[in-house]
Amino acid sequence: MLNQERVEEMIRLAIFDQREGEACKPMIQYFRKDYIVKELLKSFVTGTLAFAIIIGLGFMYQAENIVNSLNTVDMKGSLIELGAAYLIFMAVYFGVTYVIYYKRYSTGRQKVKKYFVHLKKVIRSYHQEDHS
Amino acid sequence: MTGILEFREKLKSFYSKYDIYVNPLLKFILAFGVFSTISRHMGFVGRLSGTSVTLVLSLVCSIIPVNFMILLAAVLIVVQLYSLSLEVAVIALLLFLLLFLLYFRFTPKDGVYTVLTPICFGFNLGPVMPMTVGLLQEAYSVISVLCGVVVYYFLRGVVENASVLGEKSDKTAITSKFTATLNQFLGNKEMYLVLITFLLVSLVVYVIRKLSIDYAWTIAIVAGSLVNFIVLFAGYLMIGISGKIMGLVVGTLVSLAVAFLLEFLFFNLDYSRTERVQFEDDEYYYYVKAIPKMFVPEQEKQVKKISSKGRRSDSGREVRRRLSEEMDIDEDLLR
Repeated sequence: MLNQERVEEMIRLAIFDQREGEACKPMIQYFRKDYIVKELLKSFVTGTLAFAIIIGLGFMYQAENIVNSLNTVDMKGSLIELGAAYLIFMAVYFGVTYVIYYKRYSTGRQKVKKYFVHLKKVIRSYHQEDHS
Repeated sequence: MTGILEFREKLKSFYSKYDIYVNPLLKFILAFGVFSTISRHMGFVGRLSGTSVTLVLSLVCSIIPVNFMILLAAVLIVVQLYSLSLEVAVIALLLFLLLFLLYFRFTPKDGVYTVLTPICFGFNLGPVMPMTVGLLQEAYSVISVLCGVVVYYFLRGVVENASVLGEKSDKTAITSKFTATLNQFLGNKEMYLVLITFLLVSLVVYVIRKLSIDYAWTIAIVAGSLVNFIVLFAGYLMIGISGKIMGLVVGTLVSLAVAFLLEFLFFNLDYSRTERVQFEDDEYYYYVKAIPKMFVPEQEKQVKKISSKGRRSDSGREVRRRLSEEMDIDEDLLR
């Protein structure tokens, strides 16, 4: 005979699996620190690429002016400015990444905890059935 | 009012019952809207702009996740623009890539708002999007709408200047073509005005609807609409854009109506039955305000059979119903 309570719990588990299982997977695979470092590494690649695109678009937009002032421009100073801009951009990008994934990990961890509470209920109900 | 609430419940129950069919249908409609808009305004490649191609792409998109539809739409736009001019296509590709790297890496689920924003602009319903996001999403989701605004103004600029941008040019003109393409959005003052307005609207709506006050959503919607109208009106006067006031009034009013529809569907509370309770535990003192949702149960239509056989059957059903209620079990078990 069907155990209605267990079926309800299993439905909850299945819904969680389907909706948020994939998103919450890292929360049981990594510690918070490792998870955030992994995302920061990804952000290093995507942030650098984004910065390159912004600079590329800026160059295209100002191409004529840049070409015209190529002989008079202070190359060293420009490169230092570019480096400083990159560092500021990356600092902001890393900051945003850290905040977002810190929060996401905390929320995901809470959800996973709830998931395990339901899972325990299911396991307990199987044990009770075996012993009865 | 009761009739409308009943209709809402029916709508909800219909959706929960047939979501397996409704979701693909909604995705199909969205995809059809997106691809037909692209074909209508940027049909530079004849073969990709036909109704049959649009239909096939929409059908494919009805069974794949929304984000793939966004990817497909971006690829289609780049291909169409490539036919117009290589430089324009390169800029479009870089713009899409930048949006992906800067924003959608963090919140891929918000991509749908970026797609819906240009479509809403097409129907003069731009303010609907910041209001919707402010009402239903987190505050940062407004960035997806702002991305949509940038995409809309870029594409609109390209389409309006297609004849100039599409001219065959020698090598020296390539740089000026890049500049001209980028100018479609970087040099567009109206775009900056709309970006600031939408940011303000969304934040105002979000902050007010989160407040613990009665009719928070209604106040948020009205305040958001006012901010939208006042800032855009003042902005148009300052920039010197004329002929937009009528569209602004209509757009704001329709957005207001859409926002109220959203409120009715997602946040319909009965403030007359608000309850305030206070209690405490070892660590905290709690002030709780509970507002019941407006709810009308669906009316069950019962058909009474007059024949003697039917009467017996009805009385049998009645007995089964009472027994099942008494024993707290499913009525079908007593058949």
